[in-house]
Amino acid sequence: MSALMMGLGYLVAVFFCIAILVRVVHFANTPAHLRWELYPVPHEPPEKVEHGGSYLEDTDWWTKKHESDIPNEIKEMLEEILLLKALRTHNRKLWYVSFPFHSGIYLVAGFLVLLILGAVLSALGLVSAPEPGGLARLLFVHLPALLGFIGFAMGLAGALGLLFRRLTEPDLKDFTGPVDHGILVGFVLLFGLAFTCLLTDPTATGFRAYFLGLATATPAALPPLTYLVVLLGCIMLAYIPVSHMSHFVAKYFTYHSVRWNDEAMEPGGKLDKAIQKQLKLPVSWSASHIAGDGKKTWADVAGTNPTKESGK
Amino acid sequence: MSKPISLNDFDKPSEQLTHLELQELMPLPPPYDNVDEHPRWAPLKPQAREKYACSLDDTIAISLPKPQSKEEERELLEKFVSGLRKLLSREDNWSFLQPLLLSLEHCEKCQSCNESCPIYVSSGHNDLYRPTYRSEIFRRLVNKYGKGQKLRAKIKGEDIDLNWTTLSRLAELSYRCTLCRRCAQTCPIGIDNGLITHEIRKLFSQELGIAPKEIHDDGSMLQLKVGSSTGMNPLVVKDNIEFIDEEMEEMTGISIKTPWDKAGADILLIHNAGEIMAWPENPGAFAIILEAAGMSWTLSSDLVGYDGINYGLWYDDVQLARVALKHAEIAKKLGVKKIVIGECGHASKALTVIADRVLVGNSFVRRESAMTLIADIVDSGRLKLDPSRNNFPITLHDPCNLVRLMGVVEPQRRVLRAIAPQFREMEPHGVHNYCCGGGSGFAIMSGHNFNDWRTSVSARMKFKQILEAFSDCMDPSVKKYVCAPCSNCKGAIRDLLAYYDAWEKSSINYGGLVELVVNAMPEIKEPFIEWEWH
Ligand code: SF4
Ligand code: SF4
Repeated sequence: MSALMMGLGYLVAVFFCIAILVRVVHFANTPAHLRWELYPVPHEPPEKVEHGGSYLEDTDWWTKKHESDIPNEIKEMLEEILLLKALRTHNRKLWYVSFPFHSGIYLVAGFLVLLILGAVLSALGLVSAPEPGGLARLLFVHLPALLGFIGFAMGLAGALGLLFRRLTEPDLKDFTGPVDHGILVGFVLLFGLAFTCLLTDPTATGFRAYFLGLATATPAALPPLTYLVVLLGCIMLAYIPVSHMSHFVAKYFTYHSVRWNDEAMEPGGKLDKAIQKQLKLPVSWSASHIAGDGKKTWADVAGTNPTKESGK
Repeated sequence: MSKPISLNDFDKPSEQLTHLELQELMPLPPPYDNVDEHPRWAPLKPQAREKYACSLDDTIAISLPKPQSKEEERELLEKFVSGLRKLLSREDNWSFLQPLLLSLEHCEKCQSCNESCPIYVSSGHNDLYRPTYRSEIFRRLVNKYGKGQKLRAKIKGEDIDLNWTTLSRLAELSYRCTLCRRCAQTCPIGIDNGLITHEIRKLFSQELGIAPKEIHDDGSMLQLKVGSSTGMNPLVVKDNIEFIDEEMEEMTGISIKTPWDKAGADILLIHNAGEIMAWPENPGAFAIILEAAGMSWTLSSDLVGYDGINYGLWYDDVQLARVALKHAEIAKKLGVKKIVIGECGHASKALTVIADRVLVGNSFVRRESAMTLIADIVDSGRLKLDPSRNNFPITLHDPCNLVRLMGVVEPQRRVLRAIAPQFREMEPHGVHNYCCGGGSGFAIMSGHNFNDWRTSVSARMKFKQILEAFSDCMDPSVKKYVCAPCSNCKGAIRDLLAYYDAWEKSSINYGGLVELVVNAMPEIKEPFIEWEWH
């Protein structure tokens, strides 16, 4: 059983990383698209951001230096990631449950990172976490336990709230299917059981033993409840990257590559070359005004006038 | 309250998926709050019902003929599926593949975007017009038929049947959204339901050859054929501008000779040619301002060069590229320093922003909106302007394409602050504005009873905003002006005001920005703004 759980842990960790990477590549590998930005764009200078303006407000903008306000963009990103600003502004009712859910997940991620780090350092003989009173114990036992307590509690409250909203709100009901409900039930169970686990084992001995076992490749015997939590955790972790829940990956692209992407064409630049290459791609759209045959290129069809006569 | 519409209803044949009652629509402020005084909608004629697909709601936008045989129906469905696959392909849809995949694969269905949609809210929260409804139907079709995930669709409870009902309803539903992208602004994930609508329209146009006649046959095709969607060929447009020059002289006493095809001019000015036909005072005012400011500018009489519209922006990437390339080619030929696009939001966005990644290599040419040019001229003090000549309540309509989609927000305000003492904002405004209701082609679409739907539903929020902006001076003795620096928006607002008799009842007029600038020029004796408009 212990060996099986260890194997599962390795497998899921590897699967999670690969699946996330695949998703990143899936989006990153798409061709350069047409500009489709949406204002306000937070990296415009402050005097523009104030009203949502862009460099296109300046006559002959190409003769002026265009400065990007990266700190403001980062501020905007942090507000979105940590506080779920858009949801808070536009759907406060859902934010009340989504915010604890997301914050819970962040704290649980912190809990896991610290436990894994502690286990690795322990395996390398660099720290000895169980030593009472030391900094290592604070960092790798008490702090993760605290993060875990709060994280699991918030996650549980959030998941329960989300489930309740999805089951009862007429707006959400029609758009929520059995799989969505199942996932939320999964999170309720995971966070609920993990919280119970910590209640019965406040210094997370079971979890630490599991990660130390992973770090040293030595199967560790765990309390049954910890087994259950690890098993559920593995299932949820494996599901995230293959579902729309990996929106944290998508969000990077929707914001940076689409909404805030106001990169202007520079003749002879990288983008210019990329688009010129894409104009050589074949077109097979078959409506009569295009008549793509899979051989004609974008440059060919765009350079053709589909109307027979000319007006001159 | 209309009956809730489930996603599962969409593929089930029925006479009509929804019906709107005037009483259910978002209430309007006084004196337009009595629904009984509102115009009644013309029902679709029995011949139209007989001939065209009309099982979505009370109107039709695209007049899609019903298939005459099972064979024809099957062919349409097959083409739809092949179009779905092409939308997902790097070759056929490099232009929007990444944004499309992101929006298809990551919606959390949290419904946070719904309240931002003027159509959904104005309709009295009719489920069919949720930004998410159309997208979710399309997402299900993509997953099941485009990606072949039939089992997954069943397990997830997202099964949908592709049949004639589904296809024809989806085609219509893609013309119940103005592509204003206000919903995208509110989405926490960055999902863009406007973009999904855009891609659905592309699929229908680029693969099935289905698009509203006003946009395709009488729009981009006519423009490519005779030079302008107005039908004006180069000779006619020159004639019309000559007539406008004469009229301007008569009205203002200023002698104007619009320059044509002036090689080496600094600016190639491209108007939406609709202005020349419907609002000649707008190109006239441009000419007066540019001449008075001593600018080096020209119009072009080359095919397509005198009409800035680019309807492809709304429904077809190939048509978009064709028109943009023509504009660039003409600017190159004339050797101008830049193209300036007149008061037209979609033309400005199409050529400056969207075509930025079409005009590559030798096609590259600098382009900008006229808003910045006019603001600079006003700021520079080159024109003598007397704001007291515009001393009447003025509010500004923000064209979505200029503000939310280009970030051109302040220049037009700089002008108004300088020349309009009673300028007041609508709420919300700027990048958070509401569409005029005529976006994405609606302003020029009025077949069957579409005008009723447009003015009552998609433009309703704009009417509410206009009325609220003038709430302190609603008395008809006070003449009021809605400044809409965009040809399409102006058309939609004209129809809106006419529909509710807002000139007769409340003295609300409309017009462009440059007209107000010329109206403020003291050397012009008679007011330039004409108040009697119908
Ligand atoms: S588009 Fe965005 S806001 Fe709308 S339901 Fe999807 S995730 Fe939520
Ligand atoms: S793009 Fe505009 S009209 Fe279309 S769904 Fe979004 S908010 Fe509504």
